Amino acid sequence: MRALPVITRAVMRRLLGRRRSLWLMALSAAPAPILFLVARGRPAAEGAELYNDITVVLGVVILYPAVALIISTAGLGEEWKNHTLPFLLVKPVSRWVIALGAVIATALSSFLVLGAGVLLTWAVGGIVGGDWSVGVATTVAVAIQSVASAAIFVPFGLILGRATLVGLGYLLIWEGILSSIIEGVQASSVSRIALSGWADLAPMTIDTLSSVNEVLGRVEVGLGGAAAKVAVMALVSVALTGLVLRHKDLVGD
Amino acid sequence: MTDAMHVSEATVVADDLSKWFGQKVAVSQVSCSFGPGVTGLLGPNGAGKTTFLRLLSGLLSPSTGQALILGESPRKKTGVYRHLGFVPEDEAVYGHMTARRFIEWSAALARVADPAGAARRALETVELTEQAGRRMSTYSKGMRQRAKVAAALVHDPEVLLLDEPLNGTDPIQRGRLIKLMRQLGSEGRTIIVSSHVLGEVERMAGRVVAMVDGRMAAAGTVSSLRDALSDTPRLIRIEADRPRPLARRLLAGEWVEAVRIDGTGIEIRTTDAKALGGDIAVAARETGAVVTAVSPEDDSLESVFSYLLEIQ
Repeated sequence: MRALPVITRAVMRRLLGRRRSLWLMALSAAPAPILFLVARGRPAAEGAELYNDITVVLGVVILYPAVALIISTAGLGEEWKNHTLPFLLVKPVSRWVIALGAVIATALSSFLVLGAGVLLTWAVGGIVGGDWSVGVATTVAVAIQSVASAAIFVPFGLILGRATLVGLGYLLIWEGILSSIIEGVQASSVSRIALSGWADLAPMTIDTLSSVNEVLGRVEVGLGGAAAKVAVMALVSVALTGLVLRHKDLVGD
Repeated sequence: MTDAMHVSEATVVADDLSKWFGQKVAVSQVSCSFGPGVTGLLGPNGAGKTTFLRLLSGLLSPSTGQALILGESPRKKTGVYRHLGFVPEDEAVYGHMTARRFIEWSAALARVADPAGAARRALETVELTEQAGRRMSTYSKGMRQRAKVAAALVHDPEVLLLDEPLNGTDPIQRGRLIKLMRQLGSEGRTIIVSSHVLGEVERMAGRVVAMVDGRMAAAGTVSSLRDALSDTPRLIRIEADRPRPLARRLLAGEWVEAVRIDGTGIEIRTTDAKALGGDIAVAARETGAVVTAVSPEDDSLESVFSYLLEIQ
């Protein structure tokens, strides 16, 4: 397992050391100026509520999953497409360790990129709402989102040539449409899992709680449950990614 | 195919190895082995060299057969990679990394005790120390090739597989890399180098394995390949003071296909060079000609290779 930190650091450097990560940080920070413009001049209580509405609807449900998706499909998929994967595969390192390192690095990278946006929005939320604790729940939701996205999309990135496009389709159709229509699908919805963790910690008004419960549907509010779900997803992901690395021909003909 | 395909102290073995991608057969039932020293894997583009090296390195799973490095399948036991270095053909490198970091990273993953020291030595070996602090995205193709070779060498492997490592290098770098290959081979390592440039293979490899259309066509030294192709026409040049009577006499031999006289030289196309060699002395004595030189005109890998293609 000595190789684990070496792989994790290398994957993180690759994911974060590009101009793309700056654009993604900017994208994840988009709720901040919107919140500032909308909440400016309003009472603090309204500001706090607007913070919740904007970070949940725009952030947790739309922007954060999209940003985490782009980073996660690049976790190992980028190495596959760029033909650099052989450098990693011809090392005396177990495929499971490579998979674990990639999933950890991808989750951490997503969290750092999203975290920058969350921090900025948190700061604006603190200013307009007067409550500096508002960002805790969003930070936790982003952590859950990062792990869940890495768990799903790191192996996706190795299996599908256009994983980001397919992932966006998944977010739109599965997370956006099917989860709203079919209750059974809601339990597997990443944004609902993240939202259930968020709802456990966020200070909410009755109206906000009611809206959140409506979105969550059959998914129960609870940080513990959300954490357990993403932990299981991460374990399955490592196993699946390891299998793909072990059995799939990841270099062309 | 023949015994020439196998060596006695085999460190790398391909056992009935095949690989197909859908309908396309890239490598077909290849059985051969490699031992210490430099072996050139020769073949035109599309012959299956890259697929074969990827099969040997465990990057591709064989459709049939198996590849063994030091008795183990790298596909099943990743520990084999402690003893194996691989230079892929792809130009791709980690552009965001400096060569030094890339090679240190390779050393760390290969569990080298002192990655920084090993990286420094590897960089010196490929003469890339001065540029080692630059991001590899700024490198020329030749510099990238050298960085990849250094990364493959950094853990001091017993077996080194190099897929077209001289691509993109300038003549000076090429000469140095060829010297390096020969040095590594003389140290008792098993070096398998693929190339479609015949002159390069000839300069660095003691043994040549020729691939055509996914199959092993021949193996051995350049001259042994030629002997194996005794039924294929070859071109011999004879220098003599009386070329015309000598040429007329030699034409009587059934192994002579064609003769061309050029000043004091005779070019003879023969199907049996050994028989012709024996007949030259007799013919010279009979005609009173003084033979000053006999040399093969086409005893290069280039001609061997074209013959192989003709046979295929």
